[in-house]
Amino acid sequence: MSAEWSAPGDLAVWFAIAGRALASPDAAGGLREIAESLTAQRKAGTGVREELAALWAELPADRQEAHREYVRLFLSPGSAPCPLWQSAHGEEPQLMGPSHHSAIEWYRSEGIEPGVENEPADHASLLLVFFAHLLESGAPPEWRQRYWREHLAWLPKVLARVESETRLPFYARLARVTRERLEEAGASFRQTPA
Amino acid sequence: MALSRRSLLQLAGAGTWAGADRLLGAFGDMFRPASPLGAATQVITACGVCSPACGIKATVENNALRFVEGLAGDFSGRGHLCGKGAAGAGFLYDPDRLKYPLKRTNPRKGIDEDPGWVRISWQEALDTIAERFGDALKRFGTESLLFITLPSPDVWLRFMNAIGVVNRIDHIDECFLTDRIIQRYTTGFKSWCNDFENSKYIVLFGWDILAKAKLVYANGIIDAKENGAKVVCFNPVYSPTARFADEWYSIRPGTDLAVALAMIHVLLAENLYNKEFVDQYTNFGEHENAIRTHFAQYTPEWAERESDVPAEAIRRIARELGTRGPAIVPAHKKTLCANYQNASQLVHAISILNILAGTIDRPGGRYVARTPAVPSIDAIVPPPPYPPKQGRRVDGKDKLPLVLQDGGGMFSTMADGILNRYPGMIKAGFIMNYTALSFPQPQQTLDALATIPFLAVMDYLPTDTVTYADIALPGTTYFEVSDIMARDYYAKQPQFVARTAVVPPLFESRSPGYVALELGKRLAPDYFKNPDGSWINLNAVLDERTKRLGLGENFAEFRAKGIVTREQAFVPRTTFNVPGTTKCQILVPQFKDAGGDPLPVWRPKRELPSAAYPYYYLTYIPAVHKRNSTQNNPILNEMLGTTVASLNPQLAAKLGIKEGQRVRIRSRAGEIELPAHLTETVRPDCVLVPHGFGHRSRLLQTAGGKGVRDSDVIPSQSIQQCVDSVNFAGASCIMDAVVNIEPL
Amino acid sequence: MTRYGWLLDAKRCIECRACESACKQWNQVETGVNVRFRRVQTLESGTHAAPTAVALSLTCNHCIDATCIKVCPVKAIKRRADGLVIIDQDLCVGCRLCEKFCPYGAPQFNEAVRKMRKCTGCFDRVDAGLAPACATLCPTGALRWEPWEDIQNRGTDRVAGFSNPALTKPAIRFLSTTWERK
Repeated sequence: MSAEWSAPGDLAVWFAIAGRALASPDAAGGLREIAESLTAQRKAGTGVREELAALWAELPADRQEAHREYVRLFLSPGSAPCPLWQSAHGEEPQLMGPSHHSAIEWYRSEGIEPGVENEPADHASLLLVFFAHLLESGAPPEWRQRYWREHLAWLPKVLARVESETRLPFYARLARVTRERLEEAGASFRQTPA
Repeated sequence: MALSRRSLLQLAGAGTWAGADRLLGAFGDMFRPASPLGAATQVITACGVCSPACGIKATVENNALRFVEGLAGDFSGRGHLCGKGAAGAGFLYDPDRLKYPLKRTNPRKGIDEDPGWVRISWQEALDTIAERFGDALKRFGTESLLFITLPSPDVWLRFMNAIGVVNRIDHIDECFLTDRIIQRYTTGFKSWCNDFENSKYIVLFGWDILAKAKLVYANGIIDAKENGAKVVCFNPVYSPTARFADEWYSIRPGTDLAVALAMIHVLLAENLYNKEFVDQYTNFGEHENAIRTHFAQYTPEWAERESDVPAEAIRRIARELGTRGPAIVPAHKKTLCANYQNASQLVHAISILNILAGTIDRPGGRYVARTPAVPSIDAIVPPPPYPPKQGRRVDGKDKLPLVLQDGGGMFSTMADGILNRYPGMIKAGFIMNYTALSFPQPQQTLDALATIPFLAVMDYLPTDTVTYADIALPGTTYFEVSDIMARDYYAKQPQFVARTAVVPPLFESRSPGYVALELGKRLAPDYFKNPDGSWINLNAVLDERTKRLGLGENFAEFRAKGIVTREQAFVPRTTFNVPGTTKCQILVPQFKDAGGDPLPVWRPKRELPSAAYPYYYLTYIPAVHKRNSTQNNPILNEMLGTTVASLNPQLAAKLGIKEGQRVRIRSRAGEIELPAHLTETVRPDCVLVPHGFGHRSRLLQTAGGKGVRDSDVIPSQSIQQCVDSVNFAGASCIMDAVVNIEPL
Repeated sequence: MTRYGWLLDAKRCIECRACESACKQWNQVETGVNVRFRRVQTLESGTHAAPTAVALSLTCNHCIDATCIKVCPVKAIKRRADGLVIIDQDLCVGCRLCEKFCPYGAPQFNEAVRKMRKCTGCFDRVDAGLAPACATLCPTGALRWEPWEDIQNRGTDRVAGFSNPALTKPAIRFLSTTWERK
């Protein structure tokens, strides 16, 4: 991990963008502009800017292709083992399980709730964007660690599956980099005394 | 589980998240300011796993269902739920649920084909369906459309009537089609209300009333026992009901008709029928000689030879039925109304037994539900006249006049119709909430579906039929819709329960009512307008239904109450709504006119043991599942997730089969391979396999690939076979198979 | 505090498994996949000509003289004042000794968390004045949860197939398993 990535701000940008990209089949398309303005605002380091540039380079020219692949990976009923709702990977595979309720309590602690009420709150996209927010707003390390343990520890394994399942370099890269950053974050928590 | 709650975190900076310089501000649509925290609430609603629709008290928190329990005072559940109902959240939150409308991009159809789904909007999905259906209608006429669906909700039936659909097919031939037809002409009403608590004598043919776990019946029959009733059970399996009964007879499969005929014989020969009722309220008097002569041949000794039930027992049971007090011979749906080819005759014989017992709409017997029907949408917004139904019936029901008149069915003849009688006739199809497992010989059905050029499938789970769809529509579960449930299983007084959506529909799932309305707007707009020209609004219709029933000014008022019971005296009927008369009919002339038997005639089941297929094939529906629609529920799947073939140890020893050993069960229709389980509860010439497993769709992560399809072994039928065998009320023969069993 | 116990009227059991579903629903975190605190088992005997069968819905019996409490090396299993026997998840190390010594198979090893879990008597519901989820949902009254004082002398303390109650004094009573025949 290069030095520029160690600033919480850079990580926050990546997780926010990654979370957004995982939110819907067409989300990847409009992200580039948002990412560019975010990185400019925050004077993000070269590391994350280069990584983002590498990611956009993998975006297929045919947006339908990205759409279909997203549906196949994440929405196609059961055909790929990569559902992005944390509850689906719980002890009892389901939606709206205990992690849904726990995620809502976390969001409420920051005065927010999910934008839609009829979808689970523990979707990886929401969880990642919220984590980015925690990093950016300077939440104490023990809270970040606790949130990581409760709501992100499950994700690296799923992202590894995405990486091996997907046919598109865009999602493979997105999954790999996000997984690596998540694992590093988790490791750094274990090193830091709580 | 959160009766205790974790304390919320309070961080500095809370509330300023949406500033332009904050990250979350860039993703404003993903989050929004938190609304005021609501505590967990309890909502009254009604279960939707099976038709009694037991009342539910649902605990909801954070827009999620947390727990369900029964509703006090409810006639169906009496404050309780069965295992299926209690596992309801497992349906609502099944991760495999269809979530968004999907369009197929891979034109090849097969269970192992990846459809190449693309997510589309509801608008595009509905426009496409309307276009393809409209095109089929214009070029090929109404007979080219196939709707595999129940006729409910009524707005959906309105749509089908509006565009002149003649090929609406449902599973009712596997359920209560036969019963509905027979009852129409013998007693004039649906036979689902049984006054068990006042019965003193209950005879059960085949129906495992306890382990089917319809609580209204299970509790009813337990009440009967506690009130001193005697219960007699005929079943080739020592089922939980057999255990419960005072007497159990291991009857030869498919011969219940013989025992019923012999019991009628005894009641008539010894004049033990309820003379007061029969003379006044039935057509016995007009046809007495014919009736007595007809049943004279069906002696208990004859019945013993057919059924293995001792003649002495048959005679004694008939006498007890006639002299012990209010008696009832109940029947419900598949068991016993659809299993075998002689079901038309059996259901008629059973109706006669109840009539002779004199308990029709009387204490201790079958009675007319006192809950008024919910006003239909056609009553609230009268439609223009519907086009006449013209065209060839792909399931052949036009060959059975009483079935044609009824309008339901027939799954058992559908595949033959599509593949053999009218190949190529069906150009567009819509399947609502059915899987191929529902059909005998499911593979034949899937092959038939593959020949349909355009197929839309709506369901809440991605079952095998969904994998054949050109457009898949995500449906709602019963937790996400609102409706009025009129009690019709126990209804000595009227009772209504509000089914209330406890959570908003998940993702983009929608109800069949929405689809009906939207397709109606596109294909038959004149039938979906209010008198003032505005579109029909289904919420307004629900409000009007509520008002007309006197349940409140609108549905919101009714849902606040949740359950309404009306006190009224039970006044026994003296007239009956039988066509052409006001009396119950024992001899039914209309059956004869329709090519059937005016009095039940002994006819054997379709398949009889032979050298090639020496054993009877029995199926059952386990208490923790409902047909083939609950196997993917992770809670229920854990209790029973796969299939075994249950055999008597005697038979197993003869065939060299050990506990757990895989066996092949083969009939003239197909074969299955599964492990054997040895149990003394099964008759030694039978094998017992549960229904509902063998889901092939790999999109079902819990149920997919588990167990085998019991129906692979059950031969489907052609409509001509129904006619030739005098199966005039359209029974599906859904358990009528004989098999060979061999160890693997 | 009132001590409670199970009252099982097995002849009323319709094997609907509402008790199992209710337990899984209420305890969804604790039960895990393929671990069921409460299980309905059917015991068959006899021949087809003269068969018998009994359905028993069984779980932890919160024994008055529980062995699990005695054998736990880290004292993770405790009895509340109302008699409910609880495995403290923070202390449990998953050694599985309690599983070996329980006559009823109540403690089960949960692979996901590598600890022992079992019926908690729905103590959170009990503290709120409710009955355990299973007994609340049983539709026929086959399974009831009653003050021990009221039921300790009703019916019998055992049925065929049930481990000798003298060993651990389970808080469960059985009414007759068959109906009187008419």
